[in-house]
Amino acid sequence: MGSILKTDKLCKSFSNGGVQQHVIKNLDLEIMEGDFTVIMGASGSGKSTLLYALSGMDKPTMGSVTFDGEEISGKSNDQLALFRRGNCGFVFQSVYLLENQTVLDNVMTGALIVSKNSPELVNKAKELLKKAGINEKLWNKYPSQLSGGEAQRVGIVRAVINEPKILFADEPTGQLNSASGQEVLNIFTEVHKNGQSIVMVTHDLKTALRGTRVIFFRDGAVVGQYRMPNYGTDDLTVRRAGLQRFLDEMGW
Amino acid sequence: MKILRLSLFNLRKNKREAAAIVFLTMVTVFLLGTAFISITKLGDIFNKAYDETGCMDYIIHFRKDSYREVYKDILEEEYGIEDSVEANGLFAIPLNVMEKNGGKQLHNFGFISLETEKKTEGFDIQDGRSDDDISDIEHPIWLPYAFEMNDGYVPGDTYTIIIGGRTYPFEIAGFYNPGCGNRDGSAMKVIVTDKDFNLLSGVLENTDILAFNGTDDFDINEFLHKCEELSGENVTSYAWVWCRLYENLNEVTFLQIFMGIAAFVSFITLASTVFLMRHKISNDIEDQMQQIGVLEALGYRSGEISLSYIYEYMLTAAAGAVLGTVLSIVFNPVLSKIAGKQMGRIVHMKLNPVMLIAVAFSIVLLTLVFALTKAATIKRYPPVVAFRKGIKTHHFGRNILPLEKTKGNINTRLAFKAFFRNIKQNIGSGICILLATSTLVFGVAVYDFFRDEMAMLYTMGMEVPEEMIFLLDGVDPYAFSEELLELPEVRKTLVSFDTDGVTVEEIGSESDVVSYEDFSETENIFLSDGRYPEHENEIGISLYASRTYGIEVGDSVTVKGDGTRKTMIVTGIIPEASNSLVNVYLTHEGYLSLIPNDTPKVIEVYLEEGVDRNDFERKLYGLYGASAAEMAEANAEGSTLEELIRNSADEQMAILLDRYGITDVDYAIRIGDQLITGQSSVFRIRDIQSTFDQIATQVTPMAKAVKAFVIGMIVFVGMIVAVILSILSFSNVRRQRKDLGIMKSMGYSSKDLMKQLAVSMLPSTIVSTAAGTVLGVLINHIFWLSVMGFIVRASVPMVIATAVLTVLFSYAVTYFAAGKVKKVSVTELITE
Repeated sequence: MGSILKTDKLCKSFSNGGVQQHVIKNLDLEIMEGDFTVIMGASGSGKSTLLYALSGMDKPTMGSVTFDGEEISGKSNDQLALFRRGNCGFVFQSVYLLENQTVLDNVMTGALIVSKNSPELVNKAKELLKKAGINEKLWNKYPSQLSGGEAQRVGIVRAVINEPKILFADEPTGQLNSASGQEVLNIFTEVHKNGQSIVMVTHDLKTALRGTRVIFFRDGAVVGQYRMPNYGTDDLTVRRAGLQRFLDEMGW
Repeated sequence: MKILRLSLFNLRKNKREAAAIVFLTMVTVFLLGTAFISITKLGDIFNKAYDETGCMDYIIHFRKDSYREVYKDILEEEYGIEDSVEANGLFAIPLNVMEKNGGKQLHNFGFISLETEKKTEGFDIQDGRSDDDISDIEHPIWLPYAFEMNDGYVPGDTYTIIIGGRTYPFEIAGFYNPGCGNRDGSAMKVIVTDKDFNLLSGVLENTDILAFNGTDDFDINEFLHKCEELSGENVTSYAWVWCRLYENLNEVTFLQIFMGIAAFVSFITLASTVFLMRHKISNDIEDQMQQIGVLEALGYRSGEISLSYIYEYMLTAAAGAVLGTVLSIVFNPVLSKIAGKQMGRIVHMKLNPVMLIAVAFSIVLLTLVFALTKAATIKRYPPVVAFRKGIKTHHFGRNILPLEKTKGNINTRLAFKAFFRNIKQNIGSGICILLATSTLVFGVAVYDFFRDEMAMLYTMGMEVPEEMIFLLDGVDPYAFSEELLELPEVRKTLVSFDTDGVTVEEIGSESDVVSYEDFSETENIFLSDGRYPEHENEIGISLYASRTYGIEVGDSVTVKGDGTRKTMIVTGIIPEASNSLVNVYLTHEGYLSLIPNDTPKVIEVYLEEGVDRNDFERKLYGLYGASAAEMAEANAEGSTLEELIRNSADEQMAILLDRYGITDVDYAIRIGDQLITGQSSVFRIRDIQSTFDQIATQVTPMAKAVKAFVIGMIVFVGMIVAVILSILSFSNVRRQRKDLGIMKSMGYSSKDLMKQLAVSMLPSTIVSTAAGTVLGVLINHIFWLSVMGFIVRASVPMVIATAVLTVLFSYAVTYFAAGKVKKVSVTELITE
């Protein structure tokens, strides 16, 4: 299992009323291929900023990000967009579906920017939707006609349709009820089982349990990390206790 | 107060849209205000300027032998006009003038003496030499002020006219503001001393002048007909009329037409303003739906919230209206100057504050009504709906162009989906583009028409040979024509008359005659209906006359010539653009049946392509000797006594032939044993004139003014299109900010999104441009036909190029305006 993403002295700061706020400080971090990495930390600790810097959605103030051996931090916005096409998938906290497009069109909008249209591609989209529990009746519905959980599952399908090298998720269950949240997490577990590398930001213990590596982030730096076997391959009680202990140590 | 704050917040938030609305309202008020003032006031301004000159209302030149004193009695007895003045005048249509740079110009002139001028108008000198200086000038001349204003002459300049080849140098003593006789089309009134008047009367057409002030019910055509009835002579054909009415039409109509076009453009800006307002209100309501919900929940009524939008547009429209009014006031002196230059006289356009305020107020009111109807849609959103962001973000409609059936580029597919989604916006912008394109196409067609003098000439229903050779009496035009055809430079010749006018009774006024033996040989006379006249009793009439007097192909008309009266059948309708617009077309036989004593004296020469006109003229002089006109002007020179005598004798013969109608001269001069003989048969050419020169004199200044106006209009309309499309593009980015961020996260680049936004507006742009092009061509057709009486065919390649450029321009504007998408960052999705 090699490294897919690496940062070298990564810094990110924002100017707030003339005062520089350093959100990420000299971060050296390595994300391994096939890992389900969970980034945890208190609100305002810089988790989401780190996620967007890692994924090339935001440029670092200093330092570098290397993706699969290629440095992406120096790329222009349009080069980064091209980079994201084949390499990254995103799931957001809010349900960011295109309101004016049907469920299937939302998925196809993500797919067709990478691949040419073909019956196989359409079938793949439909299969993935089915697997995510989005039945055929919903394919031609608009986002406003879906429940929050359904919409988020469509968002995940859209994110994975291009088989990205890495899937980034920012609090994907943050706005869902418990049952919907579990359904969404099951999909993450499922795609991870299939070898998908995932980086997810969360502050929820139940969500973090799905990961294989938990990184704890505080004041712009990694202060600790915890490894777990793949979800479902160990005893959940033991898993929960282990993670809870780690988080307690981190002062969570 | 909270409502007003919401208005101010909206204004601050969308400064660009607000600025665009202010700009468009300003332009609307400025254009409409200026156009209204000009259209309604130009007539008054002309009348005031005319009154200030003290010029009589009518100055009629009767050809010397056709004036009868009883005409004056008709004025007194039938119209109660007793202040008439009789005088003498001279007419020269056309006359060569030496330009300041040494070239030649053709002008139409009417000469009157200083004494007559003082009897018929106030002789309002604008600029001139002092009386002491003038007394030292041998040949002073006073020209209409237009010569100083438009041609750059100054007092003291030499002004040389050429009559029958002889030069008559005058010194410009001053410029005066004439009442009538201020346009080249109706002959410019120039004033010379009594002494010079007498000198010129030997070489120019002499006229008897009857000048008078008309009464309210006076009709010049009726009067001339009465003169004709009384004398039993053809008066109308031989009378040149200078009068207030014709002068007004000549000077003011053209300006009014262009102000009418400006008013039309103002409707485009008004439509654009209303569209942008409604579009912005729609967007604002969508953006602020939750705020609206909060306000409603707090107890504000939807009417009160609607008012916040009305305040906003009251502020923007009022700001635009005030600026537009100020601009109209500031522009007024410039407008006066432009109008003065076009009219050829000093004019002062008085501002009409009441009208300006009324225009500004009406525009503000109109925009507010449109804004109110849109803002009233807030009542459709009760608090619950508003909290849920209204129905606008909830789409339950049919999925048009599903992506699973995408063929080709995804960006294009998404753009077309967006096009159907924003169909209302696209219809609105389409209407604006349609109006703008129709104006652009019309503008380009007008520009193309005036692009060069020849292009304009080719549409005017008259032949445009490179040279017109006027022959001396007694020269056989047909034989000479055959001889000319032998020259390699000559492509074609047509023999024609130096025609006199005839009167078609159904038209009422005198018509110029265009006469050819066989019209099928002509190259620039086109039919809009029927066929060319082929027989003696057939006539072609102008399209204007046909439309104005209801004369159709197959109708019979009565035509009066020189003492003759004949019924003729109308065989063809011909669009033409002469000054009177009522030219008639006759075969040689037909013409001679009306003017029996005339003979063909003109050979129209068409040169091969690439032949230089001046070189050809020099060749003609080399072959046939100088024209009588040229010889009469030359000074006898020679190296030997015999040469000197021969040249001197030739010059004298030329003068006799050219100026006194003598057809044959033989001479014999004995010096000691030597006998020097010669004869006039060497001379055949009286004069060579070119239609180009005349057109240059009459058309070039007008063409320049029109071209400048049209270029301004095209640039201006282009700006309007740019403003509308860029604002739409901006607001699309603003409205879809979240979606664009989501798409960026998927890997769509800024360029992809810019392309999508631009292409999404392309179908409506293409459709409306196509419709606007058709409309523009129609407007062009109707405009020229109804206003000028002839058809100007818009050049197909030019029209297509305009349409294509409009589409490309629109695409470029929307594409680059959509560049704002570059500022949309995916990280915004986190912070929301």
